Amino acid sequence: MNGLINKLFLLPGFTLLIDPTIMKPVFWMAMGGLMILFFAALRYWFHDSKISMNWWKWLLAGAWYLLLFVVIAAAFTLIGEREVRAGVWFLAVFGGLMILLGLGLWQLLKKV
Amino acid sequence: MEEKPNALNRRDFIKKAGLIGGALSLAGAAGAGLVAGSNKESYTGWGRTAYGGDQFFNRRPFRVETPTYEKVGTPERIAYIEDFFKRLGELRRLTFSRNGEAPRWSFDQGVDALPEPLRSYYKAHPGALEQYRFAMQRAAEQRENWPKYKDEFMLAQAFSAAHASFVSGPGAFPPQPDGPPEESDFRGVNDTGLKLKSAGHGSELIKQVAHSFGASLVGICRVKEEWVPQGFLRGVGRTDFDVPKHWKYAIVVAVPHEWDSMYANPTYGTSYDAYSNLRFIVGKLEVFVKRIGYSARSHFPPTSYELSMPPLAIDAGLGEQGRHGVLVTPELGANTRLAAVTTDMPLEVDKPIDVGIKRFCNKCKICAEECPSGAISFDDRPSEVIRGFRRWRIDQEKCYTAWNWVATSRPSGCRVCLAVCPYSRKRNWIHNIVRVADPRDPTGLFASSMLAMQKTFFSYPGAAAYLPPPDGDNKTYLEPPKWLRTDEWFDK
Repeated sequence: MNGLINKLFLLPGFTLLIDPTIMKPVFWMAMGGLMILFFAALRYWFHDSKISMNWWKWLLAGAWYLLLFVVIAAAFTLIGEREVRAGVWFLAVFGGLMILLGLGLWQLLKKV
Repeated sequence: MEEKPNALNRRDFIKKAGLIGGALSLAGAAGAGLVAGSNKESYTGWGRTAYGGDQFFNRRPFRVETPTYEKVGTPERIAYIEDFFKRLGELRRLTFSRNGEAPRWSFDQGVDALPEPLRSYYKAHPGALEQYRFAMQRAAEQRENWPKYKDEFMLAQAFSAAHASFVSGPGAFPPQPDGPPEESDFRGVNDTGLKLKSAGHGSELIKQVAHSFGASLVGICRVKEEWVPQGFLRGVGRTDFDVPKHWKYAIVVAVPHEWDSMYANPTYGTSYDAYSNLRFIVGKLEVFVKRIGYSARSHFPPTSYELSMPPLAIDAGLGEQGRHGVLVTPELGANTRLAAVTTDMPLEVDKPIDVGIKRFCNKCKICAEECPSGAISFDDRPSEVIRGFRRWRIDQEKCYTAWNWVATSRPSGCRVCLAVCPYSRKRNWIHNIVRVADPRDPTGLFASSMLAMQKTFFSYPGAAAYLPPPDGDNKTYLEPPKWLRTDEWFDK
């Protein structure tokens, strides 16, 4: 396996491909694309679930998703820092809170 | 055209792809978090140092006229014998055999048999000598235990020994002053005749050069008399002296320890990595300042100082003093080691800052809870007036006891209080949010909630666990990195 990895590094352009200065923006562009796709699909999901959306509902849904994103990223940042217990606790407490908030938001979107 | 009933239409495709995209984006959040957390690039001081990139915290909104140390009386200079390392040096000269002669004093002879000024000091500080004796007993145990641990800590020992290799002996750098400061500090000064454009230009130039020499943080302040210990002067010896007139300004520099070894305290590394970096920085800075036409004297660790560093660094706007007595900076937390160059070069001084570190220390107490020697005060607020300043007292003899007790790669070392300090964190997005938000919150609620999370979510081994068996289990705050673990690289 190590031999294969070493050979990969010898391929022309491979180091450029994994270079963080190029991969970082590529990664975030890809993430942006995935999020656009997600929200485009969400329109259909809401429509098919007979949920009528308006600007403030979209704002709440977007905020919830953003918060969930931050909670997951924060928890895994702590895990990456070798503070595994802190990361797991963070995910359990704030991830749980996000699930409860998500359920509440779903009810709100359906009723109003 | 009619849609075929079993074909995936565009709408269904987007619905399913969107769900997968949403899940992938959340997985991406986890991945980005893992990378941000584990990335060594976010260890401040071991990357973009040379261009000043380590000093990333915006201090401007937090500049204050009055430093955060609490002056309550007439400041006094630290007497020679009150400096722990000078006192230790005096005692060691008495208690250890030199040149084949018998030791001149033993603990059994008691305080009264000590020469002055040791006798007066220990009479005024009952218990301190007994604590020192206890530390020496732990040191003897540590030396006996070392064969048990030497394989496990071989790499840590080699790492420390390499960093300590030029602290003394023929290859030591920088050279120590020779003769009175009025001669020594001017030796090699270049008579350029060039006039500096302004003090502001001088400060900007010196800071850039200091960063290029490896300083993570640089600040400049005037030298106050109260920060110059009395009774000993390098190049002269034991003497009472007035602060030399040409010690007008201090260029204060700070660097961190290598972060992974620092977190694996107390057994995987010593302070010498930061010490060696500091010695090179201020040694070179001394030469640089002299070559552009001004007097200079470098002050560097472990003991080559004529300055008390933490208050000087507070004056220079680098940070605030923590409960553990160590300077805490927004960038490096308590993982901050200090050195300085005194000079008569015209410089523009920095202002002290107040970012709420001292207020946080009032509540936190994690360092006191984790200190293996119990040297750090648990008082809710700084409670003792020491030489005209109200502060927390550090029991130096107790602190030194832990140095000798823990199974360090090199006897005499413990930096647990640096490792467990909540401010000693990486430069990544999650901690940068705290760095920006906390000092701007006038209510203190943000700091309180951060502290509550710190105490609930994070795990600490507990004070005794850092000690070797039978008192503890040689625990470290975080696990040692692979590159310091002997078993990763060598067969037993």
